[in-house]
Amino acid sequence: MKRSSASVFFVVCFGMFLLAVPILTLLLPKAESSYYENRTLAEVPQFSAEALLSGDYFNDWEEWFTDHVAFRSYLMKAQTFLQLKVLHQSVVNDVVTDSDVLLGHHGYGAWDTSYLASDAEEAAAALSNWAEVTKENGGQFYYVGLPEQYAYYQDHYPDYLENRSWLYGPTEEAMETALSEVDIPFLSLYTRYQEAGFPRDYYFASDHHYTIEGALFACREVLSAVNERQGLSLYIPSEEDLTFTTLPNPFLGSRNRKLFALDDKGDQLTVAEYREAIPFTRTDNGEQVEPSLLTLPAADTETVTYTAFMGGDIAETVIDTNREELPNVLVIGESFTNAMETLLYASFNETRSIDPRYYTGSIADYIAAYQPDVVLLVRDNTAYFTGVMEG
Amino acid sequence: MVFSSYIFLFLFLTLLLLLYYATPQRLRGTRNTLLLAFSLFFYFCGGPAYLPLMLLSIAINYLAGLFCAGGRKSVLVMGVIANLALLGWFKYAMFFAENLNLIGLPVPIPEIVLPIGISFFTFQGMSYVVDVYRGDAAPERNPLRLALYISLFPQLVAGPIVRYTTVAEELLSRRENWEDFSAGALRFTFGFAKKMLLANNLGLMADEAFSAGALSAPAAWLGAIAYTGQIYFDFSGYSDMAIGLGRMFGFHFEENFNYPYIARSITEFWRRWHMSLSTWFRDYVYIPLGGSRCSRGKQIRNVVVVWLLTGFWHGAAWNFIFWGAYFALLLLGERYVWKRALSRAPAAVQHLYAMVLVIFSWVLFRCESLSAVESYVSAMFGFGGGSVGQAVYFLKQYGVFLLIGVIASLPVKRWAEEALRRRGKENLLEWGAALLALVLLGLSFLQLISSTFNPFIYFRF
Repeated sequence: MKRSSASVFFVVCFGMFLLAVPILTLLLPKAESSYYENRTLAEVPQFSAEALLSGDYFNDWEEWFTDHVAFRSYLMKAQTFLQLKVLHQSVVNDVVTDSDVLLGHHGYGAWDTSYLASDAEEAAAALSNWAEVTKENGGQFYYVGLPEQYAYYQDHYPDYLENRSWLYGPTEEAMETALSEVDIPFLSLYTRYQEAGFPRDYYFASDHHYTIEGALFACREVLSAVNERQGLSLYIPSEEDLTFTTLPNPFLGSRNRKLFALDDKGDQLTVAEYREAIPFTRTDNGEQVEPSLLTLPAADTETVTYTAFMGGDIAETVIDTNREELPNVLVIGESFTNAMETLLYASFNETRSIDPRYYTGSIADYIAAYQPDVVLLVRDNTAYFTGVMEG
Repeated sequence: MVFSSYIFLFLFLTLLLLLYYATPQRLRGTRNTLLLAFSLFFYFCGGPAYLPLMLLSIAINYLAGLFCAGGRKSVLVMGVIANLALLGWFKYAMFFAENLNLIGLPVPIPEIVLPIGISFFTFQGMSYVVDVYRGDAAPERNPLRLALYISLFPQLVAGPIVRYTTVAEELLSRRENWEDFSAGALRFTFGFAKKMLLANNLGLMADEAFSAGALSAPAAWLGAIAYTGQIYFDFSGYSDMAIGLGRMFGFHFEENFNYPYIARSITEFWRRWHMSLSTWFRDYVYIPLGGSRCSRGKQIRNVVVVWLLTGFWHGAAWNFIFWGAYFALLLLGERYVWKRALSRAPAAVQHLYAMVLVIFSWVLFRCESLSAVESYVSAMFGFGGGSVGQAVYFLKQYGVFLLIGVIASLPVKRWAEEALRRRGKENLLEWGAALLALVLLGLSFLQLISSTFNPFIYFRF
C-alpha cells in the first residue's frame, strides 16, 4: 500500500480506533454493575508486589478494561443482535433461541444416571437435621421439588439439541427414595406438572421461573399434600378466588436478559390478588414495611421482571395475617418461593420466608425459635444435589 | 499479554506507536531502546517471574555469539547445550520425571510453569549462535541489539521464528515508511480478524466436540475439521499480526504460512505450514545430519529424527511425539512408497488425501492423551455414540464460520488481486482491502468485547 487515499483513510481510521477506545474508556463515567449480565463489574486493581510478580496485576487490569470499555453494553448488545438476528445461531449467550421458548443450553453428554442415587442420599442426609428439629417442635418438614424452566419445556428443545429428558424422571425417583429414607415427604411438582401435560401458560417463555398460573398450581398441590399428611384443612385457593392482572409493561425474563432484551417471546407478567383482601403486616429482615406482596413499576413503559413478586429475593420476610387459629408456615428457598408466597400466605396465620443465600443465621435455630407447623423447603431441580447454600 | 487483548491494543501498542514515531528517525538507537524496553515489558506482563530467564538466554547467546565467531566449535557446543538445557529444564523436565516414575525409577517431579514463548526465543537464539559460527552472520557486539532481536515483541511468544540474518541489517539501519506502516497495519488487522472471528468461533465448536461424552461420526468429523480451521487461523492469524507489527516498525519478517490447506501431499503441506519452523529444522538439524545426500538408511534416520524433534518441540507429551512420528511415516511413505501413485491421481484425490491425513494429525495434536485420541478416532469411525443432531447443531451454530473458513483457506486474496490488476482496477483493490479491513476490525472488536474465549493455541510452545 503506497500513500494512496485508501491507505491514508485506513491508517487514519486504524489510528483513531487505537486512540479513541482508551481515551473514551478513561473519560466516560464507569458503571459499577452490568444490568444485563446481572453482576458487579471489576474494580480498579490494587497494586502489590505479589500481584505484580504473579502476573495477576496485569490480568486484573485486562479484566477491568474488559468490564469498563467505552459503550460496552451497547457493543455487547450489537454482537448479540448479530448472532441472534443475522447469523440466526441456535444458541446465543448460552440461551437456546431456536424454539418458541428461550431455554438453557446443555452440552452433549453421556446419558449417565448412575450417580443419582448416591447424590440424592447425600442431599437427603444433609436435610435430616432440619426435619428433626421441625418434628421436635411439633411441625412437619416437606421438600417441594420444582422443575426449572428448561426441564418443564424439555419437549420444546429442537430435535438436534440435548434436552436431558432422560435425566428428569430418574432424578425425581431418586429424590423420592432418598427423602423417604429420612422420613421427609417429597412433593414432586415435576411429576404433577407432567401429569397435567406441562401446560404452556404455567412457565415463562423467556424466564427460568414459573408464571403466577404455575405458582398457583404448585401452591394448590402443596396445600393439598399438607392437608392430607397432617390432617389439616388449610384453605386451598382457586382461580375463582383471584383477580389476575396482566401488566402492559415490557417483561424482561432472565433468559431474555442474557440476550440483552432482544427476544421476549411475547411474555408479559401476570399477577394475582385475592378478590377478598386478607389484611396482613409485612416485615423484611426485622423491619416493618408496607403491607404489599408485589413491587410494580410506576409507569406502564417501565420494564418489569419476576422480582415484582415479593420485591425479589430477601433474607427474611414475615407475612402476618393475625389469624391465630391458623397454622404457621416457614418457607425456605430461593426465587421460586416468591411467586408462591403471594398466594400461600392466605392459608396461614403467619408465613415466614427465608432465602438461605442471604440469611446469615442458623436455619435449624430459626425453626426451633419460631416452631412453625409446616416447613416447606422449595428447590428447583437444578439445585437438588448442590446442597442448600447458606448465607 | 496476547495481541487480541485490550491492554495490548489500547495501551501497549498505542503508547508504543506514539512514543516510537515521536522519536526522530535519525535516533535509531533511541527507537531501538524504546522497542527493547517495550518488548521486555511485554514479556514481563505475560510472566514476570520468567523475565530473568529470558535475560539469561540473551546473555548466553550474546556471549556465545561473540566467542564462537571464527569457527570455535567448543563455544558453539557450549552455547547450544546451554540453550537446550534451559529449554529442557523448563519444558521437558516434568515429562521426563513423570515417565521415569512410570517405569519404576522414582525421581521427584519438579513443578515448573512453562515460560511463555521459550521454544521460540530459544530457537532464535540458537540459530543466531550457529549462524555466527558458520560465518553466515557477523557477531553482534551491541548487547542491546541482540537483546532486541531475541525479545522483539511481535514474534516473541508465538513466532514466526525469525533468523538473525533476516533482521540483522534492519536492527542497525531500517527506514520506517508509510508503505510499510500502512501495509503492516492492514496485515495486522486481517490477522486480528482471523484470530477473533474465525479461530475463536471454530475453537468453540472444536471444544464442544472434543469435550463431548458421546459423539456421532458426522459430529466428530465436523469437530476435527473445526479444529483444523481453528489451529490454522489462530496460528496464521498470529503470524499475520506479528509480520504486520514488524512492518509497522520497519522490520520485514519471512512468511510463515502459504495456504497450507491447498496442499496435495503431506510433503507440500509442510512446505506451506509453519515454514519458519520447518526451515529451522531443515537448516540446523536435517542438513547437518546429512539431509538427503546420504544412504537411504541415513535419509530415513534423518527424517525420523527431525520429525520426532518437531513433535517434541510442540509439547512435552507422548501424543506430540506420536504426531511427529505420524508425519515422519507419511513423509517417508510419500518419498519412497506411494509418490508415483499419488502424482498420477486426480488433483481432487490428491487434495482429499492430504486433507484427511492432516485432519487426523490435528486430532492427535488436539487430544491430551493417547486414550483421548483413541476415543476420538473411534467416534470418527462411528463408534462414539452420540446423535446425528450434534452435527446438525454444529452446522446451524457454526456453519457460517466453517464456510468462511474454507473460503479464507484458499488463495482468494491472490485471485482477487490478480483479477483486479488484470482489469486495471488497482484503486478498487486498495479501497476494497481497506474497507474490508475496517469492517473486520469492527466485527473483531465486537467479538473481543463479548467473548471471554480468547486463548492463543501457540502460546503453550
